[in-house]
Amino acid sequence: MKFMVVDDSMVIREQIENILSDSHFDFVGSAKDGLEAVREFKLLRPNVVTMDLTMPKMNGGETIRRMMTYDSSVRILVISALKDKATALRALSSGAYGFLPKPFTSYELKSAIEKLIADMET
Amino acid sequence: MRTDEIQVFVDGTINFFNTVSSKQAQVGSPHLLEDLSESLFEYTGIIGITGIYSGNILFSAPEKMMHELLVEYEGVDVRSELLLDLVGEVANTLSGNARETLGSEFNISPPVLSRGSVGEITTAKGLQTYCIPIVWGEWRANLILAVS
Repeated sequence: MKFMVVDDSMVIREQIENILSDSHFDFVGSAKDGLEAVREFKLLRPNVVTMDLTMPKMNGGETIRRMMTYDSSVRILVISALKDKATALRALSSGAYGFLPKPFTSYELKSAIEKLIADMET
Repeated sequence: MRTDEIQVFVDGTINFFNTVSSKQAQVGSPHLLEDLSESLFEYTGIIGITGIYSGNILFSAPEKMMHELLVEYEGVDVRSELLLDLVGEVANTLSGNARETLGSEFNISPPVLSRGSVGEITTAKGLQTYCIPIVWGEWRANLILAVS
């Protein structure tokens, strides 16, 4: 299972990469803004993407829409500090499959990704 | 700003430390600030709020505290270039708390991050400014609220 990390924070990108790599996922790449994310997504073709919402150049919502247009089978987990209901609902309506508020523990991240994978397989 | 609204920012900051680290953070004694610069450390994140309330919320922490907190991040290669990023994550949390608590009628600016230049950091004039210490291990950061 290939995963990609999109977040403008290098700390978060490295944290997610390390947590999920321990869970036998195959890390294929990361991006620090929406434009870079769409470009890399087309090259790397990940199955799973973790997505920040507030980013430079292109926000997470628009990035999700563009990724889903290119490959609607991708599963996207939004990971954001903006945890109000309206933001979460907007993210889900863009095509995201789940929402994890920041800050998060490694257990919470692994659980969210495992749920997303389980739903893919059923 | 009401006390229960202020408490949301305090709880959010404490929750940040308690989630990402193995040590519990605690709240120190809140006090009014006369001079903002006396409460600032090397790393500061600032968000702006406009709406029924307006002003700024700041999180300011010493470099060694941020360094020690970064060590707690699983698998992250600790280096100084990530410290400002980490302060940004705390400020993002405050921004998320502000949006969740105050509602969509408020505009909340993306965090502005500052390293070192204490003299350049200002808040809106004429507002009472509260400083709430956040104690984590042997270190202390400050949550600063200058909101009408």
